[in-house]
Amino acid sequence: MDIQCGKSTYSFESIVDKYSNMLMRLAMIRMGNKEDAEEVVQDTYLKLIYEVNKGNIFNDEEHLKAWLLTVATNRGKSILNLMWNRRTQGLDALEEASYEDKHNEGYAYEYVMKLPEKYRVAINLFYYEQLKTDEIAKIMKTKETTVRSYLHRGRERLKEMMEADA
Amino acid sequence: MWNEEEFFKDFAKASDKITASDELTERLKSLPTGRKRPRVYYERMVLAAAAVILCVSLGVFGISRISNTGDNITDSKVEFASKSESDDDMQNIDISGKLELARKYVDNYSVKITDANGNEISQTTRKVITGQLKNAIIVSEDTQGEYTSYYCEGKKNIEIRIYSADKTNIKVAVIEK
Repeated sequence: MDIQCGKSTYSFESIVDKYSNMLMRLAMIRMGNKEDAEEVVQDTYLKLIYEVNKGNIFNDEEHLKAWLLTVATNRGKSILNLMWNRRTQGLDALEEASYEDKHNEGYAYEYVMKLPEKYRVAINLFYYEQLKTDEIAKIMKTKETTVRSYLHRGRERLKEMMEADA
Repeated sequence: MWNEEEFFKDFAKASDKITASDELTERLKSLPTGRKRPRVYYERMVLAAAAVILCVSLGVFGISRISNTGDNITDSKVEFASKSESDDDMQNIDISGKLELARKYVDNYSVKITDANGNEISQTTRKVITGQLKNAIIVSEDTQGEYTSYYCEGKKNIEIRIYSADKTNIKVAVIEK
């Protein structure tokens, strides 16, 4: 299967190689466990196959990247709605983690996982994927000011949690 | 202490470690992909072609129907022309009604009937006229020939013209005054 991005054409396999890690990171930060995250990633690629088979093409590679992030975000939301009462492994692990564990390498990730889901997604896209707030707003289907608010409140909460544990 | 820059560097390092497993990657690469594509396009094209053919057929059928209807309209014009003849029939029926009226007036002795000179006719003449009207053929007032006029003064004033040229086929014209 070939995926057309503007004038360039990419094989499906090359797209999988290029974007799977990005999608897995987003799905993990959203879902909190590997199984659900993998389901989100797989569903995202199935949606890509469906759209390409319909004859849809992407303007460029950035368009494809943004589309993949948007689909993964929405798919994650759908799955979370289905399992609204399921507690994530990440949070379970955090409950049992000691103070020292939190300050090992990767402690920040554990703190971020304590934040509400919207804040986590916004922080991942902003601080890791290096997207601008307007791009994040499009992916999360919300206003840019809302994204800024998520980032601000997220930072505030992280600071509070860090100082409380200190 | 809270150090934002350091915190998010650590966050990025931790995120770096999150990757799609080889197993997942292989599974994703083996997802059913392009084989269906030509079939989907083929089906779409066939469906689109069928839809076009159907529309064109319906259009042609509709146009042919409209043309046939036009022919029918022409035919009906012919029929309409012939209806003018039937209008004559209607006139004839009307004339027959006049003949009936004339017969009633002649039979009714309360209706005064005068001849062309203004003299009231006798009962004998009435009987003669009654006999003539029994077997008479109604004709229009434009009919040429010799006739005898009688004027009846009933609810309607009518003139009865009895053409006397042919004794066997008596013709009568009834004219409302």
